[in-house]
Amino acid sequence: MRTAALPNLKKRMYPRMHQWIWMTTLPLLLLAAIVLAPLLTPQDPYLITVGDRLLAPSEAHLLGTDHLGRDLLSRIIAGIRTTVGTSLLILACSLLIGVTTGLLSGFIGGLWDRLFQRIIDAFMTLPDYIFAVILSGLLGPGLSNLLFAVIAVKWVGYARLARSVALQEKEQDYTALAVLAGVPKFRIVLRHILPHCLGNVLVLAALDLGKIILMIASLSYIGLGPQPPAAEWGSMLNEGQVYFTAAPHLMLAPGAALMLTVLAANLFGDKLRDRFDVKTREEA
Amino acid sequence: MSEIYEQEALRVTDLHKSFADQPVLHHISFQLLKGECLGIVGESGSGKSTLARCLLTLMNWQSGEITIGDMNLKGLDSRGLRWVRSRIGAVFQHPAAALNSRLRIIDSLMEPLDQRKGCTPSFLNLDDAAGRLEIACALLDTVGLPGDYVYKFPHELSGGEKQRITIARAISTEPDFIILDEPTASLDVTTQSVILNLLKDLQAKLGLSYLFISHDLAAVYYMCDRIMVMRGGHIVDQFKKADTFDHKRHAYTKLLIEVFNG
Repeated sequence: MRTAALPNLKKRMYPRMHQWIWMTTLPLLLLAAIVLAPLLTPQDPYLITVGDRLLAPSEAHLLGTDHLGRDLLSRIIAGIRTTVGTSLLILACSLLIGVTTGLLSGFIGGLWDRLFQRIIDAFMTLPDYIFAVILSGLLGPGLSNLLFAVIAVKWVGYARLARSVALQEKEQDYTALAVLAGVPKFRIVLRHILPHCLGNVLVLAALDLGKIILMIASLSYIGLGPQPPAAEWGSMLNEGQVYFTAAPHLMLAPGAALMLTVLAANLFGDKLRDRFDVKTREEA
Repeated sequence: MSEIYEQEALRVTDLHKSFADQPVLHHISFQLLKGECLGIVGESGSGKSTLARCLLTLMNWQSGEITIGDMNLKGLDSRGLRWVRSRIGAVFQHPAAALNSRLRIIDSLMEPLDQRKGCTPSFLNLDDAAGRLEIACALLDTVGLPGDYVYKFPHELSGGEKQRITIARAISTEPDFIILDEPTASLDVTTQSVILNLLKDLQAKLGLSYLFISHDLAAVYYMCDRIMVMRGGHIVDQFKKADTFDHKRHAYTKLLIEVFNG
């Protein structure tokens, strides 16, 4: 009877496509660089050419060569996979563990929640970096140990945030109405609580991506990350410091790569916040 | 089963509720008949909203019985609880808090019906095959809102419009009764009267039963057939609307009326 007056969904749902394009550009570029790194490197990043040691930037080597004569640009590009790829993997695992446990703890409440809080407290007794250094030191150097150590440190922040959102949202009238409507608990968490948590968590995650990249680079810098000859920006900084006066590009190139990636991640975080804050979006 | 019992939408018998040994509901007993509007009035902290949450099965109680139809709510398993909850509608004080700000109106509005797949409210006069969008638009039409509101977000609507949405949602499952917990308290005076008239019209049209909780005696007097006065967790007075100004009223009821009259 009212079919003629049915509104057009498409007009309302996709008003600003450029926001989506902007939002997805950085993750797509990073993913592309991670996947296509072997194809993008102009030379073999692991090929040692002793005769080409410490060359300054030139046409043959756009960023010069390191102390073993390896092409620096190729190693920077290969380092995207190690440094940024590892960071993204850590972020994804931390998000999955943190958000799931935090939401369930907050929503279920009771004994499980109290127990969960004590576990969180235990993890928060030491600052991030110190805890990660201790864990990495105990487990020994290597990529998999580094992954474990940083995930063990990072999931806690997401869990706390997700729990606080769950505690707040489960008291809202719409959650009570969903319970009355017979919506299953798992679906209430997914449909009503997770979306409220997602915006904040993703913004935190995007801002954290920069911190995780820096943490990986820092741990690698002190020798707790991937071992040589792996191309990793922190390790490259470590290797380059000995030759800083003779060949400053050995530190400047990975340093600039780190700085630009972290800056891009932070800008992405800001955009993500704008996207997930419904009110800000409408005002814009 | 007696004819009177068949007409009951809700029966509460000797309901007692306390928070950490602090009683908040003292042996509450009353019944709500089908098609009736029962008002519960009282000051803040008198136990009105606690009573509502007990009736909505969102809160446990220590003793007493709540019966909806022929189903006693105490000790129900999850399936029984789901069935009972489907027989109760609810409209809360803050319409903004009753609608998830992340969901479009159609998703909030259709949530109860989405749980009962294939169910179309009989009062909409739609085909059984009517789609989700068509039902949502018809529900909005019932509460006087245009169909294109279905794709709006709650923050795009006024307080009165949001409250209309929550009313449309409450009636969508054709419940045995609707608990209206201060439905106009957060609205301006003009919108209050619009919402009260809408509720009255819907009651007349659909034969709804209301449990109207408010501290606003004027609204309760306008809406209800019977009025129950609560104070400190007790029912201190219960009377028909026509007897409101009777000299036999409880002293506290007289005080409320005096305050109301200025």
